[in-house]
Amino acid sequence: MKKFVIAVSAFCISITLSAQDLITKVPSTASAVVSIKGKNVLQLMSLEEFSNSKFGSFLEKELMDESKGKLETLEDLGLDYNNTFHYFFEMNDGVYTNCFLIPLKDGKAFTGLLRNSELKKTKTEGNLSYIQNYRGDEVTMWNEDVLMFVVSSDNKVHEESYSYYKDYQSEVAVEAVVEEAADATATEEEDYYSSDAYKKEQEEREKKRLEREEKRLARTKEFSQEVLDKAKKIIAGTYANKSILANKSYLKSLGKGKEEASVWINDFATIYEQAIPSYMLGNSFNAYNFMNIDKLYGGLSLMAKLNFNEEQVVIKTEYTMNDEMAALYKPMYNGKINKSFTKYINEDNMLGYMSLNLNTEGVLKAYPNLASSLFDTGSGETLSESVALGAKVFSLLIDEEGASKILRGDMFLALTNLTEKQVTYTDYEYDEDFNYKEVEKTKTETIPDFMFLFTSEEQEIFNRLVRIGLKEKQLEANNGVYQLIDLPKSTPFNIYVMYKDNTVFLGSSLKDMSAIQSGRFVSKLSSEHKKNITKNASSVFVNGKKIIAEIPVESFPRELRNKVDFLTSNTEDIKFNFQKIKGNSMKGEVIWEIPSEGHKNSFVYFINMIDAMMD
Amino acid sequence: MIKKAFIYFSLFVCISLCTSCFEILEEIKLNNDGSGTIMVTLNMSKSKTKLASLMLLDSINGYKIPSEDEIDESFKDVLYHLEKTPGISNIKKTKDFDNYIFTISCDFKNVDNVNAIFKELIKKQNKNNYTNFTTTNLSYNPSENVFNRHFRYDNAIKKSFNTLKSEDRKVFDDASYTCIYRFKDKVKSVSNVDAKIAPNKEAVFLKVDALSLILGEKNVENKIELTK
Repeated sequence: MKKFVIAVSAFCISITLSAQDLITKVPSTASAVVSIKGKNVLQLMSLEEFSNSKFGSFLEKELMDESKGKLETLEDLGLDYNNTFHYFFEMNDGVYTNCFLIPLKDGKAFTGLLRNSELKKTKTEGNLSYIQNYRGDEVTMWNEDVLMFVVSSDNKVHEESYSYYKDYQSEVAVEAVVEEAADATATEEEDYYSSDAYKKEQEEREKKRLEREEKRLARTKEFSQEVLDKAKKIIAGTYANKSILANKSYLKSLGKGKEEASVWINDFATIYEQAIPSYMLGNSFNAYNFMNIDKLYGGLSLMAKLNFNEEQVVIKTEYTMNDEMAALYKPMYNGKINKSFTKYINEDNMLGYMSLNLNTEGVLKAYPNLASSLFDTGSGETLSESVALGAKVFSLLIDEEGASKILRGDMFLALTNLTEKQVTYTDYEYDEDFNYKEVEKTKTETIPDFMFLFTSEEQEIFNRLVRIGLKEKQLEANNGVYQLIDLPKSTPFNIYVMYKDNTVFLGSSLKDMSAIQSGRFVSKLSSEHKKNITKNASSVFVNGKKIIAEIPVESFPRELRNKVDFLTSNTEDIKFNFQKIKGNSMKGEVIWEIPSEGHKNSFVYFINMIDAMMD
Repeated sequence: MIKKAFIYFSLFVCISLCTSCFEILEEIKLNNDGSGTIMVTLNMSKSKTKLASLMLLDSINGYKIPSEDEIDESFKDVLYHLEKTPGISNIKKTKDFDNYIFTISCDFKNVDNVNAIFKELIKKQNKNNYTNFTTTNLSYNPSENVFNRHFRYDNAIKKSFNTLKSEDRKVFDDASYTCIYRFKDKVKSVSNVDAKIAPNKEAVFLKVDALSLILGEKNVENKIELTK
């Protein structure tokens, strides 16, 4: 088991992989595949460089301790770090299979790591060696080129348990009657427990238990053999229906192969259906009885790729849906953002933002259709018919166009500044006899300023609300900016609202909002930010450097306080962008910028960060 | 939804930026017959911006944040418990949710009445968590004219502290525990090296930072000898 941990750790951290790519051993029926390309990673940082890092040295020390000195370096593990590591997950007829495929340079090196007890358990068939655990659900198998861990779980075993539960239910009912009878008199109880009826009941119960046990053992034995056969099939990579390379969706996700790691998840509908144990199917717990999951998740796949570039780490994702869902979602995300939002930001002070570009009219039109299709199980049941009827009525009652005039669907949130605020607190002053009095002292706190904007063409509604607010003394006017005055007394910031140029503003800075209202606001925003905000369905930006620099040192956990300078000079921007739906897919990217100096590339940057935190 | 998310985000920023600390003040005025007055103050006003932000959230770091009403209810429970305790009278309380300062004071006939307030609670704690806290926090021997503030450190304090996330431990960084004891007679000596005797010899002052108390480096145990 220790070897399992060691090798899995190596799998996760050393990030390696392609002489003979092990991908041919992944079956075409896999639901998810994770790959780490060792060759690409080693181009960023050699194994020697990694071993010389603090983190690498720490891992090697751990490996040495774990292996009782047999292992001194990561090289000694015998892994082929230049090849590709894979993990895949497969669900088939209630059996889940998790499989790690680790390329080996030297199969003998791995055998050398095994303890005597493990060597005794090792079985050899030709050039194949394997150890199977006593439950039979885990197999460690290796040859000269590959080390493989297979961990399976069997839902059919749970089904057996469930049948036991049903059995038990009837027995409980019998016992309940018994208890009732027992309450009558103690003599009756004694009579019952020595009666032939009770003895017969006990015999029946024991018989059933033995039958169940026999069945369970038979299934465990059968499953154990199935897992072993499966492992042999995987390592041989000889599939009747070919490897994952015959799967079109997977092939499409491969691209140019420049990434360091990739994740591919296929056909969510099958995953969801298989994830619900078969014994639950058909009863009232199963939501799938009422919903057409296939319509929602059928044909849906997700692909993510991780690239460590020179000056940034990029995770690109692509979410592909079926034609019907794409047609439903497209109008929801097809909003037009109010370009004037970008005029109200000054990036010199900005700590971050989030834009959301929905189309209210599209959402209101799509939701009834989405609900109808989701519940359209084709069964003609009352629920399905009712949802369709409700959706139709909703659609008739709602004026989608009118609603979109109140809230068009484009929104923008910005953390505009951090301001220092003097706050008072109560302390005590003591005289020489320790009599004390309360004294008010002041201290400086850092409070964030924020602004939230959304487009609304209905100024009349805003004006009416303001008139009511003023009359009810909930608002206070200040040259076209209105302060909410009945906030909970503990709210750490003031909140102001105003309307200008088809936009409703809600924010904490009177200075910024007054400047915007009077046309004196000085905006500054790079073309890259403008593009991200206006072209994407959603965009998030975090000014990491500024945030770290502005947080008071005493707000950091004690152990990080002496690393604040390092963090400030080594933290850059983080961005998330999610594009509008094109075709059937929605693409997204997460970009983590790294400092332009001090690190060879972004992978080395992360290792350096880990090293710095280990000090 | 998005507005709520953003306000929550701003509050989280507030919580991360603002400092937090608190002070507990325990003041006892002891008469020669062993009766007296005790007042306990929890002053969190230095953390009020942070607390105000916290109070707007339902929970943070997995801890539920009580509302003002819930704190009020707990206060009522404490007062009810005090009222039921024999020898306790003249119970007074103050709550200041603007500055987060809470005070409870009462008169006692004998220091044992004060011990009785927490006795069951401490017994329960010791039984459930295998701790060894003393159930006698105060004692007064009129014939010897000696007042004792008892305290028995238990490693469970450090263990509980170590299970906290580093972010949560920060709360104790600048926190402190202050004890002030006033007597009618003059103070002859004190056993706690950190305690100070007032020039008029009628009061003893001891301020211990919370971290030292938690880690067992300092404590509030004190034997105060008074002139006969």
